[in-house]
Amino acid sequence: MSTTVNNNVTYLGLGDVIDGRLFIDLVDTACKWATVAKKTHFTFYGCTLDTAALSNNLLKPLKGYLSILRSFQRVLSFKEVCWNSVDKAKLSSLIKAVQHSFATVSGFSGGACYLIASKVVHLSPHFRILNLTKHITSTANNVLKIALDASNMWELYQQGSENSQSNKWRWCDHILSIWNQTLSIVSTIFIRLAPEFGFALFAATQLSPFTLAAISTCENIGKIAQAVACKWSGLA
Amino acid sequence: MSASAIAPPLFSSSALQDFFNTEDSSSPQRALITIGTLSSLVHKCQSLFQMRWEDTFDFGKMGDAMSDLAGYFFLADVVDGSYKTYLATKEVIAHFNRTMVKEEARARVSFLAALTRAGKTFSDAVTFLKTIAKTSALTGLNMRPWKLAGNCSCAIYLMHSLYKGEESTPCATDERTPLDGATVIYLFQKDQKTHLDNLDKMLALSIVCISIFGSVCAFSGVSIPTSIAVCSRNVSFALSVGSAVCSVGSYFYGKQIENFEDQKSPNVSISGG
Repeated sequence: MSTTVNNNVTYLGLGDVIDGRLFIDLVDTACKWATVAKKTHFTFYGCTLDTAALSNNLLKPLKGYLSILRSFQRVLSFKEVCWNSVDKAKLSSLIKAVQHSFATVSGFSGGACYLIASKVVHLSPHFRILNLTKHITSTANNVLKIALDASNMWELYQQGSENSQSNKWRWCDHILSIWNQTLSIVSTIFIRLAPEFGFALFAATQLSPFTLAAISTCENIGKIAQAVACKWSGLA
Repeated sequence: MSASAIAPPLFSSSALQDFFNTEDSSSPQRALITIGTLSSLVHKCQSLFQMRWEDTFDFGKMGDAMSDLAGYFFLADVVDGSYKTYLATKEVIAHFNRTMVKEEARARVSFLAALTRAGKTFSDAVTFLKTIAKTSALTGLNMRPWKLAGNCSCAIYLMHSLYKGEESTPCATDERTPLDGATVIYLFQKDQKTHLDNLDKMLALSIVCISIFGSVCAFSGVSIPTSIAVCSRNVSFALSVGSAVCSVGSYFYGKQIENFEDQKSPNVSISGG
């Protein structure tokens, strides 16, 4: 929750910046760092907390099921976003519609992959194709998001210096969003897609836990910074 | 009746989208529990009608996983509940300092509210711990006494909130200003929501009581006949299905009420709710 004080300075609360999904990512990254430090067991008052089990048995399944729920939400808003509210004269509107379609396909294939991996659905022969679909559509979705951010930045540039404080944060928001999408594209291509096509050079299995944890931390820092900029652009 | 008096569909597209919203901290919990319970129900039906779908889709596994994982979101409830308990305790202390009789009565009410809120927070914390323990991330903790304590505090909270209740007919209307159709629908929806909330609490209380009964038997070393154990498990599952249905109904009625309140403020004074 945000708090406004008398001298017109608005402070952001933790809950404004870190939503449920980001919190899961943060805890997962902390677990990865624990693995890097080779200290996965923490003992207190006779109980032992195993961070590896926490990550594998709780956080990863949770992410999988949340991805399925998110896909349901996208399917329900599909008609509205991709048909009803599309302005054919505006390129950004069309890009948004296509991006939504990619995000929906990516979410569903990701959810299906998770269900196959956790042996809820027994469709193992289709796992590879679903995994590829997930990564390719996710990359396309990120590329289109960058295009949307660029288009919004162009609009901001044309608006000039009206409400400059708010605009400054909006610029910041779009730049950070582009940074996050780029990072996501790079990690998807080099860590997840490369092994699928036989480029073992950057395969996740060959990357050290330190590199994986560092990439994850960079992604999270970017997401938090973007969330702060997004909130501030609305408040300024 | 005017055109505005036609009730909008309960499961509207926007309400369903909100139901599957994963960004809000409390929403995924409800969606996970509902889908998990329905999956478990499908699995039970499969077993009942001797259908073999496990070769393709294991509904039982998915239902159990979803229902168990929903416990993670109790962490948000614990944080929220702790803050509310702190505020309620502050209020008790503020009233307690004053010596007037009227203030003492208010302090008593605030104390009861703080106590039940603390009970609910404790119960949520135990549920969260249970989830962590189930995933074998937390070992070495004997959950039995904690479970019993959590269930007891949850039962006290539910009984208190049921006893306190909400007014089911929230109309305090002026006869000279007749209600329009939309307001009548609004009041009907509010009434339905209150009924479903109360029913949900009663079902939850029944589940908690069954659980307490099981824990007490386990502690006292009384061996329960297998038939009774199986029966109580089935009853508990049936109650949880009912609770999920009530929770979903209450959520969608709540969405309609929110939409109505956004569109226009009703010309009746609403008490309670």
